Amino acid sequence: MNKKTKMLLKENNEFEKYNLSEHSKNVMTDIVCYLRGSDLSEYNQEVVRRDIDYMLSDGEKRGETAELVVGREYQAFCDEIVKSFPKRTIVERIISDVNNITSAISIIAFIWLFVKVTQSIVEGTSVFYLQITMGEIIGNMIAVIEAKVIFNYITRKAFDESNINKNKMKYFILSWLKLTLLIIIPVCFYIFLKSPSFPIGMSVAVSIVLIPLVIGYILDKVE
Amino acid sequence: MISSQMLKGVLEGSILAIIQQKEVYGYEISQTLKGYGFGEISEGTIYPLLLRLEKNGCLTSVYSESKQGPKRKYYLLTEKGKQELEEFQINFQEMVKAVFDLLEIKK
Repeated sequence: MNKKTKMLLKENNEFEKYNLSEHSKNVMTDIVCYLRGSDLSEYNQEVVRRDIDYMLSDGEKRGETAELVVGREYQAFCDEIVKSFPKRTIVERIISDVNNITSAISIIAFIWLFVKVTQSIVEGTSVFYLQITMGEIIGNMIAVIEAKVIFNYITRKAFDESNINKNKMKYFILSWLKLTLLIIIPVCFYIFLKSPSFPIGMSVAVSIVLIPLVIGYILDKVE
Repeated sequence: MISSQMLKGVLEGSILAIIQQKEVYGYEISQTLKGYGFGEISEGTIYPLLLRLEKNGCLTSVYSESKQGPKRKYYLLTEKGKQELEEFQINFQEMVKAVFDLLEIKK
């Protein structure tokens, strides 16, 4: 995320915190969640968010609810907004997707490095040479893909109210079971696929964390 | 029944006509349309159209402080917007005349 977008995001967060009612905040959460999964660039998402924030706040001053201001069909409202913007080119989409993936890779690589260094210290082995297993490589790749799938699912279902009338306890347990299953898959690779394994130096391990960060930083500038 | 596409076109033209008269913000536009008999048109219906007109270069916008509370986004017509409005007026008058003539013949 580039500096301009970060600043606007911060402004919007502050504005919503102090100027919107709880009801409008909830509506905005759903709208923002849906827009996050849309074709809009991160900056345009925040521009639209600012406009809607101002609209809702102005409406509240007149005594109008979010439903009156933007209409009851929030999803249709968001779809119309997305349609108003020119479609992103393939290059723009690739840059944005790669940028998101680099952040995920960097975070997962950092967690892996932290665990490995801690393990080495506890076991009394050298922290300058770490062993990376095939299971860890595949498990981490699955974790990145799963993160993307979960993100897409949550953003697409932002306005889905089909679960409201369902048995809450059953829904809660089912959701947790699905989530646990998603976590177990990469963990299984970690535990059961220990070979082949490759020794890598600390400088390479740190590079795996830093290179995606640098790529992300450059792509932020391009975006 | 008026198709949504036709209604969108009519609304866009009408919005350009309102903005031509003075700088306005979203809610003002919906109230002006209501005043002219368009019925209840929420800001949620108008906002995507304003965005589209802005992206097409027909409008520009500025954020200005309001006495009531938060800033408001005011819209202004560009040269391209004025040309679009002129085109809309010609096309709409032609369409109204055509429909009117057709209805007259039927009588």
